Amino acid sequence: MKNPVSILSFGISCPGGTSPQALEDFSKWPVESIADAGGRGLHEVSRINLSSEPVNRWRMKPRLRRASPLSHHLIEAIAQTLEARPDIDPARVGVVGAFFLGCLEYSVRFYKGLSNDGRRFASPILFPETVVNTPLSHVVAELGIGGPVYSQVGDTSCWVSALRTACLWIENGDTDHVIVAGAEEFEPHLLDAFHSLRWFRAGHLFRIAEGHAHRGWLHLPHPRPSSDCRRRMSQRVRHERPCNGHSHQLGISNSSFPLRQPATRQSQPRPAARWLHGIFRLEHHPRRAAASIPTLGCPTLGPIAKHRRCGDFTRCKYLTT
Amino acid sequence: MVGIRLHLSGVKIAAPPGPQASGAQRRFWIQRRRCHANRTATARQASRRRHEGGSLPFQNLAFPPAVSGGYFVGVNSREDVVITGWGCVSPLGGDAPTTWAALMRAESARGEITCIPVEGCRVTQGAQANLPELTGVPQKEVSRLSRASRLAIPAARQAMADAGILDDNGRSLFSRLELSISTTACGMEHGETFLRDICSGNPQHLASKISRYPAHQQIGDLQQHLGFSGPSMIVSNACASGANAIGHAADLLRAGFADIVLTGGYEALCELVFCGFDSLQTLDPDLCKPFDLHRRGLMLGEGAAFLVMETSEHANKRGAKIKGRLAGYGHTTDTHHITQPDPTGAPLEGAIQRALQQAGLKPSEIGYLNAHGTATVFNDGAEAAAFERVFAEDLATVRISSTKAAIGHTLGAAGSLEAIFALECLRTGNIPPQINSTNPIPELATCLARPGDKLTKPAVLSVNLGFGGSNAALVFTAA
Repeated sequence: MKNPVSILSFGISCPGGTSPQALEDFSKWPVESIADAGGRGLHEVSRINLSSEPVNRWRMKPRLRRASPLSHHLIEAIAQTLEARPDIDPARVGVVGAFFLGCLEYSVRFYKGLSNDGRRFASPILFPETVVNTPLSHVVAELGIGGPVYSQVGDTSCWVSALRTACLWIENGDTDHVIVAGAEEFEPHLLDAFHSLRWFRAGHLFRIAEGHAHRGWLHLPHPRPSSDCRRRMSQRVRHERPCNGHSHQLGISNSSFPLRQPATRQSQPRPAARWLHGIFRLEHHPRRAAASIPTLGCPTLGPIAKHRRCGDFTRCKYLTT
Repeated sequence: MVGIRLHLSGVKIAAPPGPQASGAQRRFWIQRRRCHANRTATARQASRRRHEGGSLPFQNLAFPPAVSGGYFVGVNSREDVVITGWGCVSPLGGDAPTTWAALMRAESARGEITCIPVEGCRVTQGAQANLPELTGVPQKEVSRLSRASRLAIPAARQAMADAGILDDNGRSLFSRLELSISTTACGMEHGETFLRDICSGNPQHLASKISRYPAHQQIGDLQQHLGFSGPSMIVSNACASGANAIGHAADLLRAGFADIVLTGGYEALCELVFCGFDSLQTLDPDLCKPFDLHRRGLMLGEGAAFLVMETSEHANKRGAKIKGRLAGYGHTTDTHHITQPDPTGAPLEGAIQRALQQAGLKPSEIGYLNAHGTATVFNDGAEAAAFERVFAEDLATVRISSTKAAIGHTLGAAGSLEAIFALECLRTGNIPPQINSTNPIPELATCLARPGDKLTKPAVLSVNLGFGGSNAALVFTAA
C-alpha cells in the first residue's frame, strides 16, 4: 500500500444488540439452549433477535421478505456503516463480504426439502437464497450501493483476505470507499458439525453465536497533507465529520488511542482493534469472562483468537504480534 | 496490548530465525526479506515519480477514466499482466489441448448424469467430467478428496507445468504462490452427505465429511499436493466468479501485491445445485441452444481451469514463455433482480466498457467474444442488448459464441474455462463455433461464430454474468 487507509465508520448486528458496546461484554448476550439435529443434547447459542428494532425494519422490504436471516443482519450492519457517513455517496462505494458458511439456514432447508419431498418438489424460492453472494446482492440493491461487490468465502480468517481486497481496490483506484463486511448465521446443524468435530468438550469454553460487523474504509487521497496520517488519533476524530454521534457511542477519547500512531496499515485498525483485543483478552483469560467466546459467528470477530489459541499462523500470513 | 499488523503486501517480516532453525526456514526468511525489500524499492520509485510530476498511467490510454457501471472507473496501473500457462479439466477432456480440439470439432459433452443422484428431476442430463487420475497420490488419499479437489488438482498441475513452475517431482518451484480462486459449491457433496447422515441417524465419519466441505479445504488440497503456500482468496460471485478471480489476480499483480499468481476456478456437480437449477426450470430438457430463438435453458456442467499469471517483468526474469496478456478487466453489479439480468444489459455494458478502457482498446479491435450465453431467455436477451450497444456498427465484424452449449455451465469455473478458450483462440487463430443454434436471435444472427471462422483482430473478450447481478468482462491480447 502506497497510501494510508483509514476506518471511517462501522456497524454491528450481534446478539447483544446493534451498538459497539454489545461487544464489550459477552456475558450480557442472550443465551438460548438449542438441541442439535442428532439429538445428542442441548447447547447454548447466542442468536440475534430478528423481531427487535432496528433489524426488524428490513423484514418488510419487498426484496428482503423471503431473504435469509443473514441478509437482514447484514443489511442492518451495512446500513449503520453508511448512515454514519451521510457525506459519502453509496453509489461510489464498493463492498467486500467475508463468509465462512454463508446462507446456511436456507441451504439446509432447501436440501432437506428436496430430500424429504422429492427432487421435483425442490423449492425454486429457496434456491436463489442459498447462493453465497445473494445477501450482498440484496444489500447493494436495497441500499443503492453502486461500486464493485465481491463475496469471498474461506475459513474464519477470510476477513483478512477481504480487507486485503478492499485495500487493493483503493490502491488500484477502483473506488474510494469500500465496506468490508463479515457475516454468519446460525443453523441447528452447526451444533452437529461442531459436535462431530469435538469442539463441545468439557472444559473447552465455546459458544456458537451469529453476528455481523462491517467497516467502512476511506482512501486518503494524495492532495491531503501527508502529515494528516500522522495526526494524533484524537485530532483525526475531530478532523473527520461527526459520525451521527458514533464518536460518543464508541467512547473515542485521547486515552482510547495511543498518540502519534499513523493511521496506516502498519498501525492497528481502530477502533475495531479494541474489539479484537477484547476478544483476545477473554480468550486467553477465560476465567475473567463470565461467558465463553463466540469464535463462530461473524468472521471478523473470531479468527485471531483461534489462531492464537492453536498457535498456527500458517493460514493467515498477515497477523502477528 | 496486542499488536496486530496487517501486511497488505502479503509479506510478513518476522524476526530472523533462531539458531535452532532449519536450513529451509532460513532460506524462507531470506526469500521473504528480499521480496519485501524489492517491493519497498518499487513503492519508493513510484512515490518519487508521483512527486516529480511524472506522467500518470492513464495518460497513455485511448480512453480517459470515466464513470461507468455506476462507479468511478480509475485506471491506475499499466503494469503488464501476462499469462504463462493454463490447464483445465472439462467434460470434453482431461486437459486443455483435448478440450480445445473437441470444442473445435463442435462436440458436445451432454449425457446422462451418473455422479450424483438426479432421479425425479425434470432434466437428468448434463455435462459430466471424467475425473483424471492423480498420479503419485495414494488411493486412500484420493478417496478422501472431494470431487471438486479431484478436478482442481490436475487442472492446476497442468497450468503450473505449462508455465514451467513445477519441478521434476510435480511440486511448485515457488514456495510462496498466491492463489485467486473461484467456486460456488465448494465440496458440497461432503456437506450433503453430512446432512443425510445426520438426518438418518448415521454418526459414522461425520467429522471427516464436514471438515472437507468448506472451500478452504480445496485450497489446502491444492497447496498440499502441489507444494506451495501463500495467501489465498476465494471469490464466490456465482457464475461470474471465474472471471472475477482472474481479474482479482490481475489487480494483485498490477498493484504490486504479488509477482506471480495461480488463478482459476473449480466446480463439481452436486445434488443441491443441480436440483436447484432444475427447480427453477432453467435446465433445457433438450439441447442447450444459446442465442437461439427456441432456447429453453442451460446445461449444467463441471470442471476446473487454472492459469498462471505474472507481471511481464517477473516472467521475463525467469525466462518464461508469455502466451497471452490480460489487457483489461471490468466488473459491475446489476441490482435489477436476484436471478435475472437487467433486460437492457446496461450493467454488462458497463463491465465491458471498463475492461476496454483498461485495455486501451476500441470495440472494433475485438475479434472474438466468448459470451456467457447460458441459453436462458433473459440472459441471452440482455447480453445481446449489451453487445449491440457496445459494438454498434462493429457488431457484424465480431464473432460471438457461447461454449456452454458444448461443455455446459460450470458455474464457478465457467469464467476461467472460457478465459482459456479465449486465450486458445488468440494462440491458434481459430474461433470455437456456436453449436446448437439453428435459429439465432435477430440481434446476433450475423455474428454468431461458424465452423472455420478465423480470428482477424488483435483482441478477444470474455464476459460472464451471475446470480445476484455479478457482471465481469476480461480482455485478452496476444503475447
